[in-house]
Amino acid sequence: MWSVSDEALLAGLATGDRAAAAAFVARFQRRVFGLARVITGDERAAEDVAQEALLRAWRHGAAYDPRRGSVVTWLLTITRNLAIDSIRVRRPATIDPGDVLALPLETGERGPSEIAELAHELERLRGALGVLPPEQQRAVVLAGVLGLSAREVAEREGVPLGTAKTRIRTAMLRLRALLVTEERAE
Amino acid sequence: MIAGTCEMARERIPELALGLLDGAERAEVLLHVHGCARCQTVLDDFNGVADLLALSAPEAEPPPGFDRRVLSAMRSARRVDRQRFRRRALAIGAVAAAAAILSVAVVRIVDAGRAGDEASSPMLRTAPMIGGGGLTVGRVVASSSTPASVVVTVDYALPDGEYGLRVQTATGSVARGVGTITVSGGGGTWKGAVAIPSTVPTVLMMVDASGNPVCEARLAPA
Repeated sequence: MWSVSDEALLAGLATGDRAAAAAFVARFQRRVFGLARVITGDERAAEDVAQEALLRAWRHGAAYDPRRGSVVTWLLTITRNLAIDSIRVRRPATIDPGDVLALPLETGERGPSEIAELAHELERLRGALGVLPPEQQRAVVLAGVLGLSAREVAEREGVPLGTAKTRIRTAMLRLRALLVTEERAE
Repeated sequence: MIAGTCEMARERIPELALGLLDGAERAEVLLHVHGCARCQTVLDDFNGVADLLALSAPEAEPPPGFDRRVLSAMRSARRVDRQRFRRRALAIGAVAAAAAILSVAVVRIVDAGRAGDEASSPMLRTAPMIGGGGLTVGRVVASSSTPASVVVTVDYALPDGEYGLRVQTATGSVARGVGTITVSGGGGTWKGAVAIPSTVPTVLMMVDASGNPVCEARLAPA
């Protein structure tokens, strides 16, 4: 079961297959819970959010569209939206974008080669982010990692909406230039 | 003809990759990208960056027993769904029985609580839902495990509204209605206890209020 692709596992989950559901939860629970915890800042709220996110993935698995990104991106988008809704009800978010990227990588169920590959990729991302001006770095982490909208980034950073959009877009353009160009050159 | 301009698409692709565009803007860019190989490559690049950002989100071990609680919640929700399906299947079954007197039955709706006609080993078939102009507008997943089920999802390029779902096999002359899917905000999902024959090609189509097909998925025999 562990060799099954994320997409196949999700398809199995969508049809109600028990083995697929168990494998899907085992594969993604750390990511989902981890993101929920960093956004909510509360262990119990994070557990509720993570459970609801996995249930929604089960209910709406057939809605996943690979053209818009990977399964993990789709699942984390669901998680982010739920977590952000949760903190909107309870309290304002107190997230430091710098802290998010500084957190260590949990090894979970991964094999050594997968851990090494992911660590390498994250190191490249951190290096590329380090080249960006701090305001662009914060904007793209808030939007890309924590799932804030451009309007929420603007409110959080105390800048006009247009400025927030420009920061996010410019950061993405530079990250693409740094990461994709570098990747193709390797 | 390609919808929109490359300039319009390139301006918005970074936000599309981050999931920051609303439904109308997203649809506009995706329509262009669908017909423009160069912009598709650019979108693939930005999706890669967005994926990497998502992967940088911190992981953490959930509390003990978390996975069991999630799986238990899924089982509970499934039981509720089955009760709903059973009620719907009985209602649809009554209509189907009446209709069968007048026409040849194409698809048998299976009571969600009983085994279907298919082999007992779970089997999964999927096919893209293809709409006008060859656009992929969604997906169909058919499972012949017990109970047999079909999931239909559309999330692209279809106007909001209600659409009928019809199934037709290569051996049947009449397309049989199996349900109604609601498209709202550009997307919709339908799940039903429908047994799709595994031995013959089967088409599942969505039809508009006038009964005209708007998209279809072709499920090949297993």
